[in-house]
Amino acid sequence: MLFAIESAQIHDSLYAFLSILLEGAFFIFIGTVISGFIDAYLPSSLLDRMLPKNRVLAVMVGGLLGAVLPVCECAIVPVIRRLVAKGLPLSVAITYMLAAPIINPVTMVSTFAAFSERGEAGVLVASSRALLAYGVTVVVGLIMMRVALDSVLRPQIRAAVKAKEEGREHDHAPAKGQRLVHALRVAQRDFTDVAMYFVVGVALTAFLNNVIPRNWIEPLAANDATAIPTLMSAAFILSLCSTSDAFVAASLDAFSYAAKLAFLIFGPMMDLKLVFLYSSIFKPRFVLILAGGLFILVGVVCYQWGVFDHPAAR
Amino acid sequence: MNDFLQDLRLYRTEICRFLGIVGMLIWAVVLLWFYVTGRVDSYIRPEYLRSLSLLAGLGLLALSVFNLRHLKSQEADGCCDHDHDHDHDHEDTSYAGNGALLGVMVIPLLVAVCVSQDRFLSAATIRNKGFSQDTKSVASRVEKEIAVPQASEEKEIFEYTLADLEKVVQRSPEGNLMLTVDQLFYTAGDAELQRVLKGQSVEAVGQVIPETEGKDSNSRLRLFILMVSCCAADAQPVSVALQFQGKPPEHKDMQWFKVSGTMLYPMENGQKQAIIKVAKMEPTKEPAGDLLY
Repeated sequence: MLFAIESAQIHDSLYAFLSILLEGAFFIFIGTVISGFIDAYLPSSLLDRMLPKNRVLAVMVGGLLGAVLPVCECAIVPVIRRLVAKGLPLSVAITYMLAAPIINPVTMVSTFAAFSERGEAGVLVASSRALLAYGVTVVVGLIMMRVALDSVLRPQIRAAVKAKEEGREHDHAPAKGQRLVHALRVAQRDFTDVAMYFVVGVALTAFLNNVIPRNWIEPLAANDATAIPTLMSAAFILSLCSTSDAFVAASLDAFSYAAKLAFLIFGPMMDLKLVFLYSSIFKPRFVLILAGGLFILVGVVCYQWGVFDHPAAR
Repeated sequence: MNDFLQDLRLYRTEICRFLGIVGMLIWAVVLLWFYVTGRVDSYIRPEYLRSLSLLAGLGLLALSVFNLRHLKSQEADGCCDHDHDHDHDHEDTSYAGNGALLGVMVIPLLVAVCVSQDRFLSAATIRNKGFSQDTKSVASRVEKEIAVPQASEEKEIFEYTLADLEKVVQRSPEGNLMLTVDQLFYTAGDAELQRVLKGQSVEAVGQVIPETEGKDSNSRLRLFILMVSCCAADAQPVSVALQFQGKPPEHKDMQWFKVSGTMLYPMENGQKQAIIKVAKMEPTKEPAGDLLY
């Protein structure tokens, strides 16, 4: 057996589980309330009017939406779920969903602070993180333009999109006096749905976080070919919040700048709890393909970026 | 019995909505209870996340009460009386689906609330998290407290002395410099502080677990505290080694001790290590706010 589990470790996993849950509850709540209000008050036509007609341009704008609509990775899932059902193009939605937890003011400032307060290259790390994340998410968005909705969305969400496409969606618009009831009922429904996936994801994260020894990863720090996938795997299991993960990354002294960037870019886009949260919108098969694709793409991009490795960021 | 079954069919939508409200209410009560009792401080960073947990609790409570008041109201979303197929985003009104959802949503939460003792209990968990070797990880906190001021153009370079340290660090009635574990850990990366502290009698409070690595592990324990960035799940232990003459005294893993002894800074594994050569080790109560945020 790789590791023996003591009963006290089960307790510690429950303790860690509760801590993540208490931290994430507000963000899930606020995301689902926004989702309810989007459903009740945001006309689908507004999305069409706001986004550039050119799909490539729309994807590029989607990658920057987090700067004006900052949402963390937990809160964004219910919002995206509702926006997709309202007719936001999937390519734009996924670009926004993956980019927003990184390309937002809170994350950029915390990344800068985490590295700067250690006398390291805060501006360089924060800007590289945002720039590479933007590039990766736009590439994913452009690929998604060619993917059929049927192979990606859960049947329930796909049906809502289909109804919108066929012009049946208006049948469900609530009457004016009922809009608040509708918004808050949708918020409740989304909260219970998302909370269920969140609970499962957090339980797994908390358990693995406590039983996998961190010192397993240190011998792999010697070169980027092993260090980058190692830190991306660590980011996947640790499931840290994008607003605080830079403080953990900055302390990983044995690892290169490229590996730390891979940790900071891959983690907010795909981690264990997000696999379950994303499953409330997408088919599980697609979530796995997305996870694998992001792992390779982020890994390759950061490996190449390692050429510019900055000694101060080590 | 038939009437009951008929009611179940008749009020299926309302009952399913009610199950969702029960789930949200349980979350709200847990969040508010943890906030009111102060338990929340053992889980998440108090400065800003504590207020967010209160807001989440109040928000969920308000949402639950509102939806309970409007449990029966009909709106397009729940009507299901139009003439197309029902393959779109309608409410799930199956008892099995909503029951399972409620179970997954609240059972792990309630189990954790009942079982959790609001702290880590296992030495294996702490060991798995790995002891930080990087003294910069506590720099932002410790530099404000004890670090040597940097010389500037206006200020001449001066030699840091014990008297300078004693201006910011108190001595115990026994004459020990009272430092925290993170402060002692930090000194391993600061040559000036090492020069001043080496050979000095110090005192610190922390939890202990056996040392498992190094040639002196049989005569050592590790004194640690947990440092948290966001929530307890990301806790990182910072530590100093405790060196004994022979075998360490009787102790329980994770037990809190007040330790006093002499500071040493030997070179081990290519870097300076902060080690207390223990003169006295006595059990002590777990301090309030045992996590370092």
